[in-house]
Order: sequence, then C-alpha cells, then structure tokens
Amino acid sequence: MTRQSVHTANFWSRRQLLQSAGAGFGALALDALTHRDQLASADSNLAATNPLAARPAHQLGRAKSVIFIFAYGGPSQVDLFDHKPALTKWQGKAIPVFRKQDAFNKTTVATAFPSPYRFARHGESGLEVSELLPEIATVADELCVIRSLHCESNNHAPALFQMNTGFILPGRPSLGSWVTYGLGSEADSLPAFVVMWDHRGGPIGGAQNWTSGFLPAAYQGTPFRSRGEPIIDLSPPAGVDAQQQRARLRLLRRLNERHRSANPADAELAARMHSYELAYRMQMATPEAVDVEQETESTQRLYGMHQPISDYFGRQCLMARRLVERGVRFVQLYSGGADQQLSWDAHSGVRENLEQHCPEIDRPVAGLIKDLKQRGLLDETLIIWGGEFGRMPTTQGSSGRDHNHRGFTMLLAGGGVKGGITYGATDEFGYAAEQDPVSIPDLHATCLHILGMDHESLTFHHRSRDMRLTDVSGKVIRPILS
Amino acid sequence: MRRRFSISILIWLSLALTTCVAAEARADDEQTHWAFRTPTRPPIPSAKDVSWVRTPVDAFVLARLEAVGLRPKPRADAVRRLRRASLDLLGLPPTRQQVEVFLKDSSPDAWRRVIDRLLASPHYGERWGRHWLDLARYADSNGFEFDFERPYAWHYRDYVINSFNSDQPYDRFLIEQLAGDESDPNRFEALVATGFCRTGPTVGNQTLEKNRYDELDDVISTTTEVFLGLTLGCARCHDHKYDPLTQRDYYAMLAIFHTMAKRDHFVGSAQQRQELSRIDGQLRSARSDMKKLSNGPSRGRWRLQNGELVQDAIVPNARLFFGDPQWTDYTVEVEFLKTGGTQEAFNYEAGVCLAFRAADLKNFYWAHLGVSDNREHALEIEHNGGRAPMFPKVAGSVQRNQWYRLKAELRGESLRVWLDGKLLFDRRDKRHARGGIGFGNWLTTTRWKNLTVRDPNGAVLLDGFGDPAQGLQPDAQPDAPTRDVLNARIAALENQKARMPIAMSIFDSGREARVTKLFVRGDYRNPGSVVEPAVPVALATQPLTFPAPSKSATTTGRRRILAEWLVSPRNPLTARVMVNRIWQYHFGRGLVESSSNFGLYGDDPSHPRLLDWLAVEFIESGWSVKHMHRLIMTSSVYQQSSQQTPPAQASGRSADSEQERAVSGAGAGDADGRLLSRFRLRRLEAEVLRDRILASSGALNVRMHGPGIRPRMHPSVIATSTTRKWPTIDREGPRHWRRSVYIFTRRSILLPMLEVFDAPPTTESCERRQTTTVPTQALQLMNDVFTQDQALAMAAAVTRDVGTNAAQQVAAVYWRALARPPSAEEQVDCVRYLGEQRAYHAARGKQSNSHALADLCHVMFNLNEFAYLD
Repeated sequence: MTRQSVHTANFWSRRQLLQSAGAGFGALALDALTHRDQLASADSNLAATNPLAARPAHQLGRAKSVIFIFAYGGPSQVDLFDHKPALTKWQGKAIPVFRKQDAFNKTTVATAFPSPYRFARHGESGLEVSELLPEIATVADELCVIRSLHCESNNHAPALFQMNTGFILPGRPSLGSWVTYGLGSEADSLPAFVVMWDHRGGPIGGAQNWTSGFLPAAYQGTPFRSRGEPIIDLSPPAGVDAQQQRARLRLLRRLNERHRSANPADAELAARMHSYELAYRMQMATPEAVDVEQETESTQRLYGMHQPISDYFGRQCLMARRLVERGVRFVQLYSGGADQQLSWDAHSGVRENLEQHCPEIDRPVAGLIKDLKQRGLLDETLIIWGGEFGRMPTTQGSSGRDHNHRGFTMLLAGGGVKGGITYGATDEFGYAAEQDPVSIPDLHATCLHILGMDHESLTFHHRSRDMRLTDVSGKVIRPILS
Repeated sequence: MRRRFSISILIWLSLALTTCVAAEARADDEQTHWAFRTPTRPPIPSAKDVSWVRTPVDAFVLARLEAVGLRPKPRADAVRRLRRASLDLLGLPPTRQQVEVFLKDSSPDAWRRVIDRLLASPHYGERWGRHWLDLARYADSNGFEFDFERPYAWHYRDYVINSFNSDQPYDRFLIEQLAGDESDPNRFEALVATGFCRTGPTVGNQTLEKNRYDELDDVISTTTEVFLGLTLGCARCHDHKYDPLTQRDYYAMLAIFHTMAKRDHFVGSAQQRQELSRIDGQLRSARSDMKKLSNGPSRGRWRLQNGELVQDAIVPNARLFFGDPQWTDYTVEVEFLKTGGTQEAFNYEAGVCLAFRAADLKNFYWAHLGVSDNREHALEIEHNGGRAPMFPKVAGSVQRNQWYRLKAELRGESLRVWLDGKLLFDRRDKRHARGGIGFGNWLTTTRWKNLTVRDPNGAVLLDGFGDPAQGLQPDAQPDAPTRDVLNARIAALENQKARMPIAMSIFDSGREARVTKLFVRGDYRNPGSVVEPAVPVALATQPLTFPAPSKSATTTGRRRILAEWLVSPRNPLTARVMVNRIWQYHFGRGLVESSSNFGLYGDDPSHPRLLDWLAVEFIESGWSVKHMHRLIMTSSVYQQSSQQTPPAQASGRSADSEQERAVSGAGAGDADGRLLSRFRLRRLEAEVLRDRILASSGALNVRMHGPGIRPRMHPSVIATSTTRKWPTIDREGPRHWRRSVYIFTRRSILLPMLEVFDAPPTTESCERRQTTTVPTQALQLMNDVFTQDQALAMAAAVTRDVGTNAAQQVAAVYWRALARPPSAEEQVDCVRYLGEQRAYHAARGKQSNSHALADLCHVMFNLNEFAYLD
C-alpha cells in the first residue's frame, strides 16, 4: 500500500467533508464540549476527514506507538553497554584500528582508554550493563542491545539529522513525521507527534530535527514543555477568561455558519470550523494528558521524580507514558541539551559527563519500561534509546572521548522486540561495527516494520520522485523480532 | 501517482468527447514532449456566449467550458471583486473609502483603473516579491548547525520587491539573478541580484569539497526548477528516471556554475567606504575590549537598603563575604530576588551565588543558581582560586522578580542545600572544613533579605547583613564597561554595518573555468570523464556554444550565456513556466498544477493553448509581469463569483450531464474547479493573514525596506534553538508591526504565526504553499498575545472613530476587518453580543466598552471570511 499526495496536500478531503457537512456538524454547542459522549458522536461524523485520523498499517504491526529517548551528544557505548576488556590490556598503547580521519577533534589519540566502570551481568539473560545504570540493569531482560550501529557523519548536526530523518543534510521529514503520516494518530485531541527537550536546551539544529520537511505541516513534531503549559497558546491570553472565550467562540461559530450557508459546498470552510472545535478540546485534553501530579506517589517514585537529579527527566518519561496511553503516536524525548558537557558529548571528561547524565535518566527509563510492562502497554510501545553516534574507545585530552560514528550502541525495548539479547558487535576495542553492521536506514526500516509499515511502500511524491524515509537502502533486522 | 493518472485519463476522456477540444490534444505520433517545443501563438477560439468574453483569456476558458456543457459563474459583486483584487495584488484589504469610491464609479473602465491603481502601489512589490522569495528559498540565516545570520541578505529581498514594483522586464530580472556580476559588474543592484545563487542554506559539514558540491547542487536544482520547471537535481547520481535528462546534462550544468564563488562585495561611494572602515575599526576595538573583560572576581555595587542587601551592577563574578572564618557547622537561611540578568545567550556562568565555608575570597563552596544559561543549579568549589563544579548539577532556573528561599546546612563533610524547601544538593566533601558565608552575582543583580546563620543547636551566629563596606571584597575596580554595555555597542555597530551597500553576491574566481568531471553515482570522490558546459540536450534544437572568454575577461562568461539562452524567445520553457506561476498566484493553482515540474511526470496543462497564448503574449509584451496581471485580472474568468453550488443541486442541472460526468467522474461538473467554472476560494497565506490583522487594527507600519525585523516570539520557542539569537520582547511596538515580508527569516526558528500557517521551510525552492487546516492554527489565533493585542488596538481605534454607540461600532468593525458593511442579521447578532459582553465586563469591574469591543474585533480575526480570499 502506498500513501501519496498530490502537490498540495489538502488533508480535509473535500468529498468526505461534503458528505459530512450538515450532518450534525457545527450543531454542537461549545459549552457541551466537556461531555465526552457528545464529543464522541460529533466526532464519528468527522473522523474520516482529519489528516491525522488513524489509518490501518500495511500489515499487522506489534507496536502502535514509539517513545524515542534521544541521548543527544553521543553516549559512550564502551562505558555503558559494550564492555571491552581488551581495552584494559591495551591501556596506554595505540590500538591498531584507530584512523586519524575518524576523529572529530585534533587532540584525539590512538591510545586505548579502558572504561573506568565495572560491568556485570544482569537478569536471566545475563546481559552486560555498566554500574552507571543500576536501575536500567534491573530491566535487562527487556532490552535488545544493538551494538553495531554506524552512521555517515562524525559531526553532531549532520549525525542528528541522519538519525532523525535518514539524511545528513537538513530538510527531510523526520521519523516521527513519517510514522504519523503513515498511521495517523489515535489521539484526536492531542498532537500526534510530541517532542520534549532537555532542561539545558534543545539539540543543535533545533526544529530541523522534528520537521515534517516536504510532508505537510500537520505531521511536524509539536514541542511540549515539561512544566507549565505544555503547548504555547494553549489557553487564552492574560486578561481573557474561559467564559469570555466561550462567548467569542459562540459568536464566531454563528457568523461562520452564516458565511458557510452562502458557500455550502465548500468543504474547507467546514473543516476550518471543525478545527476550532478541536482546538477548544485540546485546551482541556492536553493539560490533563501531561498532568503527572495525578499519578500516585509510588508511580512518581518509580520514575525517580522524588530525587532532584532525576525529577526532570522522570517527569518527561511519565508524561510520555500518559501520552502514548492516550493514543499519541510518536514521542521523542531529548536527554542532553546545548553542547559539550551539557549533553552526552564527553570530550572534556568521561566521568563528569556520565556521572551527570546517567543518574538523570537511569531510574526514569527503567521506571518507564516497568510501568509500561505492568500496564500491558510495553508490547505495543516501541522504546528506542541512543544518540546520534557513540564515542571513541581512545583518549581525547586527558580524560575525554571523541565522537565515533563507526560503531555505537542503541537500545530497543517493547514493541515485540526480543528482550535480553544483543545484536551485532563492534571489533574487540568497540571502535567500529564489525559483525552484522546496522545502518540508520536499517534501524528506520526496522522501526517502521515494528509499526506494521513497509519502508519501501511508505512513500510521498515530491519533486517528481516517490520519496522514502530510507531513500534507496534499508533492511529490516529480522533476528531481533519475536 | 495513481491520482495523477486518473486525472489525466479523465481529461483525455473529456478531450476525446468533443471535437473542439480534441484539436488541443497532442498527436500520438508527436515525439517531443509538449513543454519542450517552442510555444507559438494559437488562434483565439470562438465561444458561444460572446457577452461573457472580455479578453482572449475568457475565450479560451469559455470554449473549454462550453465544450463540456458547463457555464461559468456570474461576476462577483463589486465589493468582493475589489477585496479580491486588493488582497491578491497588495496582500492588504481595501479601505472603506476605496470601496465607496469604486462603488460609485459607473464608468466602463472603473475596474481597469482599480487594477492600475493597485499595480502602482508600492505594496504590490511586497506582496508579489514574497512569491518570488518563496521560489528563491530566501532566508536571513545560513541554516544547518549554527544558523549564523546573513546581515546583508535583506538587500536581495528589497531588490526583488523593487523589481516587481518597477515592472522590471522578466528577462532582465532573470539575467541579473544568474549573472548580474557578468552583465553589469559595477551596479550594486545587479550584484545584489546574484544573491539568488546564495540564498540557499549553507552546508556546514566537515568535508569542504563535499559541502561545495552540495551547495552547487542547491543552485543547479533551484535554477532549473524555478526558471525551466525541470527537476534536473534528480540527475545528480544517475540519469533522470522519468525525464529525458541525463546525468551528463547535470554535470554540463555544473560546468556552468562550477567556477562561481561567494563574496560580500562593497559597492559604494568613497564617503561610504570611509564610513565602513570607521565602523569596522570601532567593531574591532569593542570586540577586543570584550575579550579583555576579565572573569576574575570583581567588587560589584553593594548597599543596604531598608534592611535588604542590594547588588545592582551587571558584572561577572561579584563577591561580598561576611562571617567568621572559624565557623564550621552551621545553617544559613536567606531569601533572594533576581532583579536583572544578562540577555547574552550562551552565558553558562551567569547566575546567583550563595557561598559558605568561605575561609577567604579564594576558598569556599557555593551554590550557583541558574547556571548554563539559567537552566541548571550547580554546587561548586573554589580551591585556592581554582573553581570547579561538583557533578552532578540539577535542573532548574531562577525567574526574575520572584523571591526564593535558600538554605544551606553544613555538618562535617555533609553539605546540603534547599531551594524553596526542596532539597537540591546532598553531597559529601571535606576540602573546606571552616569559614564564613558570602553572596555573589555573575552577570545578574539581586536583592537579599532575612539572613540568619545558626549553629547546630539553633543559636544565632548572624542575624541580618552587616555593612557591605565591612565585608570581604575583591580589589578589582568596578568601573570598567560591563559586558552588556559592550554587547549593546557591538550590536549597534553591526546594525550600522548591515545597512552599508554590501552585496551578498557571487563572482567567478577567474576567466579560466574549473574542469568539471562527471561524478560516478554523484560521489565527488569518484570523478569520471570531463564534461563541457551545455544546456540539457533535450531542450536545445542546436547545441549552445560557450566560447572561451576574451583575454580581458574576469569571468568565464558561462552563467551569462546560460541566462541569455533562458530568455531567448525560442526557449520552450522560460515564458511558459513564468506565466503559469503568475496564473497560479492569481487563481491558487496553475494551468500546469506542478508549477516547477513541466517534465514528463509533471501535470498536463488544463488549458494548453491558453498557456501557450499567454507565454507568447508575455514575451511580446517585453516580458512585462504587470501586463500579464492586467490581462488576467480584467478577464471575466478572474471576476467570477466564488460561490459554489452544492453537488446535489448541480447534478441534473445541465442538459449535457453525460459530458459533465465525463469531466468530473462524479456528476458534479467542474467539482475541483480545474476548468475554471468559478473562482476558487482559498486560504490566505500566513503573511497576508498577519498583515490583514495589522491593517484592520490600524497598527500596520507601512515603512518599507531595510534589515529584517524581529517580532515577539515566545521565550520557549526561542529556546528550541541552541543559537537562541532572537531578542526577548515583552511588548511589541510599531517597529514590529511592519509587513511580514520584512520579518527576519531565521532558518532554525520561524515565527510561529507564520510557520503554523504553512510558511515555506526555506530549505528548498517552494513553488506553491501548502494549505493545511489544523487545530494549532486555531489555538494561535484564539490565544496568542499578538491577536489579543491587535484586538485591543482595533477596539481603541474604532472607539476613536465612532465613539461608543454599539451599532456604529459594529459597522466600523466590519468595514475595517472585512471591507464591507454588516448584513442586517450580522448587525443584530453583533450588537446583541456587544451588549452582553459590556454587561459581562462591567460586572467584573472592567472598562466595559473597550473590552467588549475587543472581544468583537478578536472574533473578526478568526472568521473564515477573514482568513479566506473569495
């Protein structure tokens, strides 16, 4: 099945709206919008007209939604999930696989830098996890550790763009946009694709990382703030109260209806009136969806919200669970912001970096997996964890590690992915992917597959080509699927 | 693909059914794609209803409609036509006076004179120039990683606006943009025009050679799409999949642009040059002063005021310490309020500090609140003057003008800090065992109050602040210029420099062309055979020659040869592509719907002969865009009503229903409007919507030209970008209320008001705006401060005009917002609404007239009629 659109995508299909116009549309009083039953019946008339309406997948998928935890800056695989005892043997010596042109920074040398952290086996699977992530280690049997990722750039921005969009140049639609384009959303009063970033700031390249590119703007990621009002302009401006807003909207609807009666066949006008009703509903649904204070104290603790170090990210993970529970299709969380030590970019000190970032996410991520599991949602939620690249097993400066785009680790969990396994391997130093290398298009193809979509069939016609997320490559990693 | 296929089948069916139209169909044996043959002027067809035909355009459209048994819509009413023409040509609504003058004018050429008046308005260039800027992927910043600003880019934007206003012939407009440096090397505007080749995003990867070819690819793709309607960019790695364009064609085009280089070129008088060197000198010195600014400890400006300790100098690292160096275990409690802070982005140190265990000015711990650009709190240690954060830090920020309670408890190695009762830090460290307390500011200003220091038994060690003069302070003098002063100075100088005649232009690095080789699979590391410059073989009846430049030449001359070929009357595409664009901007859709793709897989034209007629007319008019506007807008086609009959009534209405079904496939006649049987209603573009709000409220500042403006953006939108280079604005003023074409376009953060209404993404040429309808647009208009502010401004203006009489207010509001009087029903509804809202606000003790009226104005901005061109 191929989804395509002509040059200007006008989502509110005219024909469908023609059919639904007049069938109860607009007859709904805004004041009654708080009553869910009435909402549901009004919606059934218009469900088919929404660009973000849920659509069937190409084939049966295991997962319905995705939570992508982006460890921005490039987390160090050899200190976290890719244990390399050989580095200890080579300590102080140049490793033979090092190539100067792979390094980003001039101060990077070939000298092996063994991990200062201990690894241990966890769970029934005996998966190796570093002591930096004691909580994540408790869910080892849920994790699929892919150790053989590689990408095309050793520079943050292009590597981020590639991880998010498949291309190192900015402007292509992001994974989240492709997924919502393919499947729509099951949350009619919430954005389909939500992005939350770190308290230290957004990733480099900003909104280019969650852009819908040439796909219509409806598929773009919507940034949520994790405190205060989640979306800008979600409630009336200062000086305008709720009752006043309702009065404005009542008059608006009345005047719009009269205008439409002169243009009864124009579906766009009906669609635009409907968008106001949806917006009004979002005003109520969105704050409720992200209100983690409604959760029990034990749930909040499960996510680490009781500790200052993990409160912020725990809150975001809990918000992510509440969002996918309500049908949001794709949630992307950024851990790490701005640059250098404020992200996972440990040029100037591995210890300071990892001892800052690991405790921030350890309990929240483990809590998210446990919570989804106990609610029976893990199987239908794909969790992705990883950065735009990894780090060198050699030294930069005195105690740092440089970017490494030739071999790094990502985690998958849930969505029917096998737990407690590793896939692929780097060489004995953790330098380059060696066994079963996985490219970014391979990863993307696998994610789409898990959601029930065929990456070769999910296309959009643009600039006289049928564009794909995976362009001309991509191979589903079948061995990791249960 | 499937849908396009079905459309062409239907068109083919309709053509086959009627002999008249069958003549327009391409002969099956014709080998050349229609768009690759030079257009010739076709005869004007004769239509039955001669009374409807005002211009040749009408004859083509009507003949086609009559052939399938359809009739066009009647002429729209005068108010609607004027509103349509005004929004279309100027992007602004007509004033009440303009409407009334037009209504009274019964002369036969009244409509023509309206169009002439609109075309003479400088707002015309602002509106139609914006269309061109979409095509040119214009922005004021580089994009990519750091998204650096392009301070001189705005000259190109103004060049485009001026070119439309002066009706610069399109052939010249084209030549200047591709080769202004070759055609007119000493004229500033011609150099500025070459900015077309530089307005694409900068590629900032590590491999310079690859970046260069990616950027040249952007130039080739944009040039061929915009001027030729061909997607030659698709042939970078392999022959084009659908069109007769080869990979060799792509590299032949690369050979034309290959020698091009970028430069920011000063072209001005001797006096201006002097001015420029003065500015540069002052910039150098301000920047060097900035570098010299020390981050070492400074005194700050401390005083006691009403029992509060106040520090009000924005300097790095101000310190003031109190207490006994022999204190060991104690608890400090204090409250603070941040009164100000640096606006400078990327200031990771700025923050508010409380020191403890301070043995002297070089040995202490401190809680440093709001570091990392006010996003984190850190516990730091200073040890013999060396400072280091004690990881990990925690998330948090310090808001201005809000009191915070801060508490630190020190017990042996245990150091704990609370903020507003919440534990921030719980650490163990033994490097400093004893010492007093202190206060610090890093590029912030604060007030402190209610200080107490108690020993573990609760005995008071210190209650209140001592005399600042008695505290311990660094020796450094506080009178050096502060960072913020220097930043403001640098910004002012950069602003002056941006106004200098500096063209963001291109030139050839010499007369010798760089050798161009075909890159196998598009990979520059894999060069193949040498390729000579040429235009796509499928388009050239005879090969275009690129003679070697003369000895005295400074450029290869290749771009100029290309440009002149593009504008030669024999070129099959240039004129067709441009008249189709003009048509598209008037009607919302081109005669060829894929307006940047006239290739084999582009859309077939709905009216091929009309397209050719217009193309020839365009060339023969001397490439006058304004001539085309007049021709199109005086037609009956353009003046038709937009009202659409519901499909239930449409079917069976016509005697020729069989043919109708053949056209629409559904018995609904011209349901999608492709045959132009009515004027197609369409949503206004983002900029027009914003400008219309400003025009209605009366706030619009019509000042033209100059560096881009930066309206208010919500701080959390600014924060989405790591560069954060957008000023924080609390309230907008007239300098922000200029037309949207002047808004500074930062590739990494577009203004939400524009972005949400489908402004183009600027990474590539945008041939046609998308029109989406999503709830976030409604949220923007319902809830954003901008709309509310403008509603209040409009209410004030209306009250000034007509006083507080509700009926008169309603009429005035309708005229301002919709350029028409309210209907009787609307009048009743709105007067009642004003009454209700006045009572509502009065009951809450608010100024009832202005708030009620603002409510009504706000509703106007949200109306469908306001957001649509009809």
